[in-house]
Amino acid sequence: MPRIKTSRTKAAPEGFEKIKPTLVDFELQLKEAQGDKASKLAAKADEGAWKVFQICHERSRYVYELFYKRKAISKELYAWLLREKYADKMLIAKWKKKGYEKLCCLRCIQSTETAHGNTCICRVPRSTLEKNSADGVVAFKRCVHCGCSGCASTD
Amino acid sequence: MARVWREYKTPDGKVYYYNLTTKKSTWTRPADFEDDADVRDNKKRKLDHLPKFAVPLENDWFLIICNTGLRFFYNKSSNVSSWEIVDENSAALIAQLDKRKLILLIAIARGFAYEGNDIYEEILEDLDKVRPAKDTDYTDSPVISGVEENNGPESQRPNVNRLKDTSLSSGTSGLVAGYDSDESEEEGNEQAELPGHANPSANNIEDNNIEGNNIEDDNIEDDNESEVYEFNSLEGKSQNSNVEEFKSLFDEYELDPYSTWSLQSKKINSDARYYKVTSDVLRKELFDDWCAAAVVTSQHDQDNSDNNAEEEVEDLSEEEDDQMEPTKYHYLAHIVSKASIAPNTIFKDIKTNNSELFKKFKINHSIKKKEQEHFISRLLFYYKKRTLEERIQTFESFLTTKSSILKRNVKDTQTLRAIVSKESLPDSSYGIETLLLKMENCMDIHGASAFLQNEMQYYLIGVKDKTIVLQKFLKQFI
Repeated sequence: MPRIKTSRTKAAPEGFEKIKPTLVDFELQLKEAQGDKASKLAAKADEGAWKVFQICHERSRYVYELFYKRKAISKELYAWLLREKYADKMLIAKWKKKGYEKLCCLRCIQSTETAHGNTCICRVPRSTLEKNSADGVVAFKRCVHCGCSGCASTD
Repeated sequence: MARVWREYKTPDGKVYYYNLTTKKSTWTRPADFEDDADVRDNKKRKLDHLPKFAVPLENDWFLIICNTGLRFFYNKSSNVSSWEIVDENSAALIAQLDKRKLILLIAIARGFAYEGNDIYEEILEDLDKVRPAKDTDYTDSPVISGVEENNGPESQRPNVNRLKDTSLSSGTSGLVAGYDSDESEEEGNEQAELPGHANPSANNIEDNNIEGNNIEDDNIEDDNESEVYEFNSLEGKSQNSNVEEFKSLFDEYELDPYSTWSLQSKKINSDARYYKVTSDVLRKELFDDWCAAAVVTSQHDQDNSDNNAEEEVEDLSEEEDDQMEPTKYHYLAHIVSKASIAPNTIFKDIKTNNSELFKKFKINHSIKKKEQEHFISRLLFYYKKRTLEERIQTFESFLTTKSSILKRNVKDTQTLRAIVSKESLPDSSYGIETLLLKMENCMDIHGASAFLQNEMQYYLIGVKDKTIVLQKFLKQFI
């Protein structure tokens, strides 16, 4: 979520007007996701957050690509966007690393949070999952953390 | 025509029919009621074959190529059409044609944007060349291999379809201008939208509905197979043209290069060309490339637009290439003179509003932050409390008090004379600035007169005014 604007918030650098409509759209999407009712089933308890994770990922990706891929925004604006938390800079930092180019969220690589000290199953390449499964059918659909269906770089 | 009659059920299950245009309902099934199935057929047909090229062969036979890549043979005089070539003379003629050209023609008929010569004309020319020699060699290979293979399954079926009153304009151009059929009346609007619509198997439906449908379905399947076959050789090219067509969408729909693909794709995904590129990953890549290019061009345009301030920045940065070194606070004073100053403006406002300029002139490198603040605060006092005239006056009096030292330090009098004797100032801000720096050089401001650089009063006025005053002042030394 972006920071709340106060009188102390610095004015956005030049070029913000051009990307504002898209950011507003993301905000609207987040608002819509907020309205979705959570499931009462314990097994689906996490699913409400998936949509939020997905939108936040998309927005971070958008800012990341604007600066690094399309080179459409200035460094000042990029720094400002990160400071105002339009994008997750920790996640972006991971994307710059080899093997993490498509990482879905930071929780999925947090090995201390899992029972066996592993990363999330969505980090496992599809080919490995298929190879290790008994009959070539992969049971894994979406991970519990953020609803990612696979974010290995080879996927 | 869209379906005007709709079938509904009353609450007790009785079927009645309702006319959408006249808003009347009836219990009896109207004569012009169209079933869902009929409509579906029509839709399917609408997708289908429009004749695109007609290649004249022997004995009134024509090879018709449709926009779907479908080919069949049609006899003008006997109104017979066939999937296979039945006429031996024509078969021989086709065998002599360049198959590659025919395949290319089919590709063009299907919408392949070929930029070479007019293949259709070339084929006609080739035919003319071959025709006189038709008696000499008869080969047994009857048809283009592609046609033969693709229509193989068709040969088991009754393969002569009747084209009822098709009028094939076989004239000089040979292009099919318009087709008419009995169905045009029945199909109403739909037919009117597609005046050049005709289809051999569609006519067959009237004779034998079920079989006609089968054939039609098979045609479509065949078509898909033939697509693979035909485009093997042309795949590279057609792939490119598809990509180009897809890319043209971006400009056409004026997509926002600063937005995301997931949002922008919604604007164009109803266009048929959107599906020319099948993988969404590739689509996104193309979009990103396009965005990067669009951003670069838009920035370039901005640079070109006559923005005075920007021009100045350019100029000032350019002169770094020259050997002339500006005075210590030169740029800082320049920034302040250009800034908009209110009674409550402080150093911080100047700095944040002109951060670009600060960066451009690398002020943080040359002057410490504290020093910057100190200087600007003092300068701001003059700008807030004194008018321009007062400041000019202060500057002049400052120069006169120092005139004895300055006079001693003047060097390179020849250049100075040349500069001072100039009546008018240069037009560009860059020229003025150069002039000022030259004069400062003559005053030996980096050597003996270096004390000037640290005096507040030396920076009270902007570049242009300073140049004028200095010019006037230095005249007395010559």
